[in-house]
Order: sequence, then C-alpha cells, then structure tokens
Amino acid sequence: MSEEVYNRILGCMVGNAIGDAFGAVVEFCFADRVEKLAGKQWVDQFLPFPDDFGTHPVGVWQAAPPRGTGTDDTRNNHIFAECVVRNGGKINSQRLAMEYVERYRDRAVFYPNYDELAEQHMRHMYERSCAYLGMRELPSGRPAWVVSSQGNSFPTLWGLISLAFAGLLYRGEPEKAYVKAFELSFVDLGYARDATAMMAAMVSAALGGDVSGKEMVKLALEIDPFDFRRRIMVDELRKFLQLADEADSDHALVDAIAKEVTHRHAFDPIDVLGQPAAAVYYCDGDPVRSIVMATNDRDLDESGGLKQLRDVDCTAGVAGALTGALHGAQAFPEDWVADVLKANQEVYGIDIEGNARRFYEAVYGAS
Amino acid sequence: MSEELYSRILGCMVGNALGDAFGGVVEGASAEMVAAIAGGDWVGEFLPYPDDASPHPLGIWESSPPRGTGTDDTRYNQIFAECVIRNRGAINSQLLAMEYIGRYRNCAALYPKHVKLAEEQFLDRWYEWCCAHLGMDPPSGRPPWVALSQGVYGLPGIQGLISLAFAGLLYENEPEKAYVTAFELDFRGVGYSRDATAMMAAMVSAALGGTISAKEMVRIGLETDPFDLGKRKYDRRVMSSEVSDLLAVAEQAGDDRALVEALSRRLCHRHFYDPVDVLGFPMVALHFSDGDPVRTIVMSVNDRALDDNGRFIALRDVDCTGSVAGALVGALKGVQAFPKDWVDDVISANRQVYGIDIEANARRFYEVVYGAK
Repeated sequence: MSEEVYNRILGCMVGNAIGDAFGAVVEFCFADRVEKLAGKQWVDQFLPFPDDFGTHPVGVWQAAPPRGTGTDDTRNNHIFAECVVRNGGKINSQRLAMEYVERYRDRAVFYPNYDELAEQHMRHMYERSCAYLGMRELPSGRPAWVVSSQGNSFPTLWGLISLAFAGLLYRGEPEKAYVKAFELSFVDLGYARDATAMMAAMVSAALGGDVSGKEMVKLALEIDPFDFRRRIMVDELRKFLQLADEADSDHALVDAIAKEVTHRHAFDPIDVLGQPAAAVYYCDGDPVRSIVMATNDRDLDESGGLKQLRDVDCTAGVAGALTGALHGAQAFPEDWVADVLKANQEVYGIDIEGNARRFYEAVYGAS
Repeated sequence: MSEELYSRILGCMVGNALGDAFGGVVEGASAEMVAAIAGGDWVGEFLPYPDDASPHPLGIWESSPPRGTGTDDTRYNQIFAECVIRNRGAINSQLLAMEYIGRYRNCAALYPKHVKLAEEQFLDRWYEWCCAHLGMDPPSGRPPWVALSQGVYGLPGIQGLISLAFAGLLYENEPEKAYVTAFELDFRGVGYSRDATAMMAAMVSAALGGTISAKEMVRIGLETDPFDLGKRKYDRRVMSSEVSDLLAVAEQAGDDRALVEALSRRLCHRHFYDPVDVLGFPMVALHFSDGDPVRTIVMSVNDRALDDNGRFIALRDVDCTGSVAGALVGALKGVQAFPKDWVDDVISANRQVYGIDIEANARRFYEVVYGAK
C-alpha cells in the first residue's frame, strides 16, 4: 500500500466530512444566529451543534448530534465510496443508479434508525435512478424521459455533494477523472456536470502529488476533454480567481465573491464549487483557511454586512475534499479528524477510515 | 375553414415575426445606441433597420434589410411550421430533428442566397443535437449523451421558446396536450427550459380556443402541469414560481415604463438566454396590459440591463422577448389586432429576404392540422 496515496484518499474523505460538519452548524443562518453561535459574524471555529438543532431529511438525522456529524453531503459521498468498494473498483452511472435504488428499497437495513428520514432523503434519487435505468413505471407516474430531462430543474450541486470522491479513482489523471465524473453525474444537467467533472479533475491531480493549491485550481480551468467551445463554469471561476488575485485578506475575498453570487441560487455550482475553489487558490491550499472561507460564503445586506450564510456545509464540504486530497488527513487538526470519524460512525454507521482503506484496495490494490 | 381560427394561427405567426423584427433592430443595443436609433431610452415605434445593420448567423441575413425582417426566431419557428406541413400535421421530436438535419445538409438548395450564414446557424449546436437525439455520433466527436446533457452553454436556454412558438397551434384549446407535445418536441432543452416551452404552448393553445382574456391565458400557463412538476417536494417548479413572483411585482407598477423598470431590476442578473426572462417578461407584460398587442410587444422589447444604480445600460435579448410576446398576443387576438402596415411589412420582408411565406404557411398549417374538422 502506498501510504501517501492512502493518506490523500483518507484526507479527501475526512476533509469532506469536516467541511460538511463545520458548515452544517451554521448553514443558511441569519446574522443574529451566526453571532449567537460563533460569537461574531465570522465562523472560524469547529463548533458543536447547538441543543436546539433539529433533524431534516437532507440535514443531520439526529437532533443536536455530536460535533463532526455530517449531513447529506457526507452520506451521499459515502454511498459513492461504498458503491465503488462493492463493485470491486468498477463504477459507472448505471451501477451508481442501482446503488441508489437498493439504498431506497432496503433503507430499513441500511439506515435502521432513520427509516422515515432516509425515505424522504432518497425518494427523489430513487425516481431519477429508476428513470435513468430505463424503468417504465416510475413512482410518480411521470414518463421516464420527463424525469431524466429535468434533473433538479436547473444546474445544481448534486454531483458536487455526491461525487466528491470521483477524482480518487484516477491518481494524477485529471482528464480521465473529468470524463468519468461527467458520466457518473447522471442526475445533473448543463454546467452542473462540468462542475462535478472539474472537481474530479482537481482531486485526481491532487492525488498525484506534486501540485500546489493554486496549480490544482488552475488545472481545472484547462481540462476540457469534450472540447466545449464555451464553458460557463470556467468563465465564472476565472472571475473569482481574478477577485482572489485582487483580495488583501480572507475576509475581503469572501465579501468580494459574496457580491458575485448573491443573485444566484444557493445550490448553483458556480457558487458551490467556485467559492471554495477560489478560497483554495487564494490561500494556496491551506486546509483550515480554505474551509473557514468556504463556510463564510454569504449574502450581504445593503450596508455590506452579513445578512445570511449560504449553503455552507456544501461549499465547505467541497473545500475540505479538495484540500484533503492535496495535503492528506494529517493536514487537519487532530481533534477535528477524531470527532468526524467518531461522530459519523456513531450517528450513521459510516466508517470513513474503513471506506478509505477499502476504496484504496479496490481501486489501487492490484497496482 | 374557420376564419376566426385561421386568423389566430396567422396572428400567432405574424405576431411572432413582428415582435422578432421589432426587437431585432435594437437587441443588445447599448443605451447610447438606443438613443441614436430610437431617439431616447424607450423603443416605442416599429423601427427600420439602420444603415449599418449587418448580417449574423443568428441575426438578420442581409445588411440593412427592409423593416419587418426577422432573425433566427422567425426562421426557426417557420422551420417548425413547414415541418408540420411536410408531415401533414404529424410531428414529434424525431421528425423535427430530421428536418434540421435536412436543412443543414441541403443548405445550398434551401438557402441559396445565404448558404454560409445558414450553415453557421445550423452548425452551431443544432446539427449536433439532432444527430445525438436520433442516436448518431455527433460531428464534434462528443458522445451523444454529452451533447444532449448540455443544452446551450450548459444552461436551461431558449431554444424551445424561439423555435417552438407555434407548438400550441397544434391543439385548439387543449392546453394540457399542447404542453405535453411541446415538452417532448423541445429535445434540445434541459431542465426548466422545457417547462417554459411547454407553458408557452399551453397558453397559445388556450388562446386559440378563443373566449379567454389575457389574464386567464397567463393563469393557464402557470397552472398547466400534466407532469406534476409543481408537486415535487424539494425541487420547486422554477418557471411558475418565478413568473408568479414577477406578476406580484407587476401589481405595484403604475404604468408600462414602471413595470419594465421593476421587471428589469428583478431579471437583469439572469443570463439573457434564461427562460425566466424570455418567457416571464412577456407573460407579465401581457397580463399587465390585459393582452394589448402593441403595448405587450413594446414592453417586451424594452427589457433592459441596469447597472447597480438602476441606470439603463443596454437592452437584452429583446428580439426573443418581442417574438414571444407577439406570438402570445397574436394567438389571443388574431392578426387584425396589429397595425396593418406592420403586418404588411413583416409578410413582405420575410418573403423577400428569406423566401418565407408566412401567410401561406399559416394557411397550410391550418389545413394539415384542422382541415379534416
């Protein structure tokens, strides 16, 4: 086993879960709530969930869970990891769709403590997976081609929160990672697939070692195996990197990007990948600063102050996966790593270390 | 032949071309250009093309063509009409894809005066989409599933709104059927753009039946939902919720200009190919003016980009908003609702420049779809 490659794989998975849990405590919180939880309008500590924190199908599944507990980002990404493991390292969009069908159908087995939450969380993926696999009768009664054409109605973040580990399939082969992630992202439409594939390309390059945070992000701008003539994601990410080149502090970068994304939907991949990618670029891959900046992705009020944080478990989850793949698990504070491993095991039964090891063995074991 | 029904079909086609040509003169024009062309910051007249108007694959195909000449909106929509005629009223997305491939392959015969421009118009994604939709390997070498997943530039775009404006004419007062057919025909659209195309078809179909007001027509557009897209728990139906919000904005507006300003403030951050703008803006204008044909087109053609201080920077994709507006009000009121000289110019210009016979297409379309009734 290559300890270096394993460590980056574990880093990507742990970093993703740290970012998810870091942001989940404050996602979509208005300024007064942020102030109450963080003591100021800037979240830079890995906070515990407050006592009044409730459950949600796409949020945490246990009220006021331990610090480090993830949301749908962590759950979805580990569905992917476990699907890769289950298929001996072979993965494609049909196998992934089958995995989602089975998870929904057998939720009482997979999620024995959370049957109802799991049903609500996975109901829509079940329908999309059935449609994708060509089933004629869908639960909603809609024709399959209607369901397949709609995705989430607009380019959203499904791939970014479910396929963060796709790049781990190809060490130092960003083009291959891009193509595979684009194919796997069967729920996404339009530039959301490009965003998912760009993230995979970055993770793949990071896994290969020898790239800096800045180089990793710049590489995503250049990978274009399908030769698209014009790419919204690339155009917009370039703007964000320009803002990063002009920013004189982490706060200034967050505020500058906030002005660019405020009119966009909170699930827009331009925000959910673009903001953390710019943060990683700005601090050249510093894991903690990247996650903190991504967690502070915000809408501003008329005077330029914090109005509300955005979908920051997702932005931070992306930031954590990117920097974890870049630097490995040891780049994060030890107590953060310990809490994330323990909490997700305890609450969901997700064994992040076990998944990282088995993923490594399934994909790289023979090499 | 039902003269009333024919008039609405012709009205939809003429109104579409009229709105296209009305906006085609100033689409994307900066505030300075608008001042030079229209004499102010508001386009209230059906203007001729200026002397320096030049050809573009997606715009006009002749320099400074006569007033009334359409752009790609008119050409695409008439391709649809001619495809319906060629197939004797039977139409589906595969027949339409075949039509586009045939158009591209036979550019020299079909567009003898504009071969190069026609090639570029069709080569720009349409040929690729059609090949992919029919299961062929696209000319770019991209896998078909990649081509079909992307739409235009990866966005829910306006391909359907500018090429399937007449889909609702297939069903007289059967908005649900029109919705389903248009949704299927819009094989190039992704996400909520297919919903937008289908909503437009539902409205046109309802208008074709007569007896409804403009406000009722808009309500039908918002409420027709045969696929229950509005019942999904976590995925709201973008088009209906956004257009409903825009209608709420309209309730506060004192006059047409105030409405345009208010809508523009809400929409100018969206991409100018966003269906929320290109269908939503004309729908609200139609609602606000209660179906006044000229006011609906004029408001839609004044859809504008504003700077952070609310100052007028440029007009948006207003040949498209104008053409959608024209198709909607034309189907609602019939061709006689438009000023006669506008209608004459549109029919004459598009015949002269492109060889498109709008009147004949409307008549033949009527005959193949409704002739047996």
